[in-house]
Amino acid sequence: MAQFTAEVFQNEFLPDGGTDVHAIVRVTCRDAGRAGSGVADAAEVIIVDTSGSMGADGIAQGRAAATAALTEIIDGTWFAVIAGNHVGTLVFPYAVPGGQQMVRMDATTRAQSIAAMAAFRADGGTAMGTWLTKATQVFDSVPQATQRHAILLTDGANEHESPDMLTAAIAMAAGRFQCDCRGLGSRWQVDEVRRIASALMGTVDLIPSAGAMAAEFSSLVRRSMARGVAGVDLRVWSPQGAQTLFVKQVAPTLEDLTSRRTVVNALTSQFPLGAWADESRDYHVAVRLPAKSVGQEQLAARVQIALGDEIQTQALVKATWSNDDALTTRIDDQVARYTGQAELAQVIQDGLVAKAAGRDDEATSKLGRAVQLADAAGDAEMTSRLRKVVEIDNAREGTVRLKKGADRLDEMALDTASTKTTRVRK
Amino acid sequence: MSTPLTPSTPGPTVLACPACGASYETGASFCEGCGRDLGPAPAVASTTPTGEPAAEDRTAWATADPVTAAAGEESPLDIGWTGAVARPGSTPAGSVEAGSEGSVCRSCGEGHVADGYCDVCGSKASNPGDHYEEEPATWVAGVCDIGRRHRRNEDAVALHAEPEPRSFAVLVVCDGVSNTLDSHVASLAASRAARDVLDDPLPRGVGTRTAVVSAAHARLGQAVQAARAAVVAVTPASGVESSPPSEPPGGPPAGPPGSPPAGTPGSPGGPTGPTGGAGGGEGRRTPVDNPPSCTIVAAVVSDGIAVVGNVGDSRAYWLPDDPARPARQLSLDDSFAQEQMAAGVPREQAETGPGAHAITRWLGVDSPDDLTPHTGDLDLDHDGWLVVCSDGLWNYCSDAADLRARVHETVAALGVTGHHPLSLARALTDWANACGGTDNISVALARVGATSSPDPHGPHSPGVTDDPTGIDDTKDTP
Repeated sequence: MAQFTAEVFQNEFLPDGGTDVHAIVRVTCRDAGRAGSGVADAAEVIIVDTSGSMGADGIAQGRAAATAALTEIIDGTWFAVIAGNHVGTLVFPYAVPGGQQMVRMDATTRAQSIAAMAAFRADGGTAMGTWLTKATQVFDSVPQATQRHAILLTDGANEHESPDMLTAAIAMAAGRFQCDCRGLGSRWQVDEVRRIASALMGTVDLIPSAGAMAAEFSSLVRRSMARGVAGVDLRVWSPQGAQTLFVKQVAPTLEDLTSRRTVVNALTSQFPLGAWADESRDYHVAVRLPAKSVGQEQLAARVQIALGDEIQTQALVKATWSNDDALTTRIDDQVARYTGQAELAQVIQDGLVAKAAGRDDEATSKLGRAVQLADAAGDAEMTSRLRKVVEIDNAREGTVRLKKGADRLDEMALDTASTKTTRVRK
Repeated sequence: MSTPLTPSTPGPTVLACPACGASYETGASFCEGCGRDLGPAPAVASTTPTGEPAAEDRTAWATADPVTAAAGEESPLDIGWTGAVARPGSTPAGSVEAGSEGSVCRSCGEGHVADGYCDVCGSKASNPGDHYEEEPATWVAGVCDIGRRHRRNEDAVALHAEPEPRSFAVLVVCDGVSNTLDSHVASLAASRAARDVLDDPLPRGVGTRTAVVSAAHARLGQAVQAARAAVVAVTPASGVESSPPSEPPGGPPAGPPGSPPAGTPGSPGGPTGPTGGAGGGEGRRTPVDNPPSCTIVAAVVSDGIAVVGNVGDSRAYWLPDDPARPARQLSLDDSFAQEQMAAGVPREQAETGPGAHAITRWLGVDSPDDLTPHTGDLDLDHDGWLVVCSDGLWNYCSDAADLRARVHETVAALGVTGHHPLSLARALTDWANACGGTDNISVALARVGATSSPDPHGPHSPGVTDDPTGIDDTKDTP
């Protein structure tokens, strides 16, 4: 049985009249087991782009990547393979409409599914919404498989359906399965795919060349198979009269959870976190309280991890009003670090959007701020990614010039890396 | 000679907190009752060669006497409560349970306490020790309050009074020294120990005033020693300071650290014999750098005579109603400021300068050899207020004339309840909080002259004060 623990990093002292409490809650899971080892059956769907832009080479590499993924899926796991172009097509298993559209993995079905992918042809357009809709149907045909995960590979922009159709398909899929998305090459849109990954509690990343796909796919499936606890929820209680400003995941990646809020009771909100392996994730919780008088102490939030209605662990976020400036002006290291990383991610994304739209002044100012933040945080990796997109004149001051003819892959790499955060170790 | 745990012993070994006697299980770091640091878990400290837990490890802490007081009359030390002294006559009666898990929140009245906080409004469950009041008779009352800035109430008030005004009363205030460990436990223990020495009627002797005063002086000296012994008893033992320098006369029976732990009912299967006896105080914890300590001021009123004694900088004042009569400070501070004043530095300058609150004598393991209290006495033959207080009050009006002006102004503002001691004590506490409340505040008052009735719409129960049979002058620890 998985064991969850939670710890809080915060400065509980508020100045006289202060109202906003910020805390980082680190949730750690141990003994998660493997996918399907708990009460829930696990299911895995592989979605491979087979649009015309993939070309014969791309299709061959896509097939190799999917084969690597299928090899990693544990026997007994429900699975299916979907080919995506302007429609989503179930390639394996061969199923009648209305029946179960997934089968359990074993040696035979693995071989059959790999053979079935020989039918992949590079043809047609790209309509990812149809792929998601097909995946939703496939998952729903096996209701007992409640730990659901998909991998989506795309190489192009969503050109063959309207953004509204994609939005609708995402909304249908949200909460039904988790989806890690990978973009091949430089023709796909990071923000578009991020929209899918974010809503489906997955990650988004760039695969620069087709040859790297197989390794990435097998690692994605391995990680998925290591998640032995499904349906984990974060609950946040805040006192009467208080307002939860936001709840964000801040590590290992930045993800604003605020919009996923559902109501448990008048004082408690719930945010789905998906499936967990043995890992730890950090959450930034901000609560606005009615100010109390100096010397008073109160509970600002109770942050809990729930499996169904069972609370696994909880952390207490406190507030104490003080007129001791030495106490109230201190910002907790973790809160400061993650607040900086969130701003860094935002200015990078805004800067790249401005650059793509030709608003060079805005792009220069945003990316300059990003350089400054990365420098201040000592984030050398992010600084070197930024260096590929801008010429840095003075990192500390944030003075930069946009690089002429920057590689689009470098810009995309910067974009996808912007939401990956680095841990602060004490 | 160790006796291994019998197989039938259920669950983890249960021990008793040396400070408050509350039971706890091996491995606990802090007492659930009084918050005392219990040090490293004894059970892991050592094992005998046979692998059995060494006997002394299981009993080294079990030196406190079992709780014997009747329900509702327990010593706060017994029940691990760091605040109010729950005797009949104190308010709020029966508040021991307030703030415990599942009790109704005292802030919003709607939610219940969970994890120490209200599950609706989030307010911290109030520690009853943060504010408590005592009113043993209509003419004597006291308030002890955490103030605004401190996170713990390290002051303590202990009172005793006979119903007949001016007949007999004891007012004790102790102020825990805030840079020491567990000083809230120390001050509470000291105030109760002193009160329990002082609340026996003084011997009549030849009945002269001189005889009464000298008997009171002797009793105050004993009370101070008893108070110190009580502080020593709650001091964590250390390898260096394994026994107190001397056994104070007249001390309560609480065992000082380092005394052989007797096999107590609190330790099932506890050992007897030399092994257990040798274990006390050895290898239990590192030497204590800041042992708990506190001040004390006590006033005894006996047949119209007030005698006060003090060690440290808590004070007693006599504030006559008649402005023509002088207001007096009856106590003498053991403080750096007082030494400066004796050398001619003006009061205001001395009491606000650097080190003004440094005290030169205190009660504790490390207290000075000479603990003879400063004493003062007075005939209570005119109307007025006897005030016993901690620096949480006098910080804001140190001079006796200033304090009298403050008291008269407050009495006037209270109107019909102006001469009700508890109402006045509350009002003075509120005033000190309004001034900043930078320290814990203790105010104990004895009224000489007419008293007012409490406000019938006031927050406390009038039944407690109106019922003289509610007075209990028996001791909890005879």
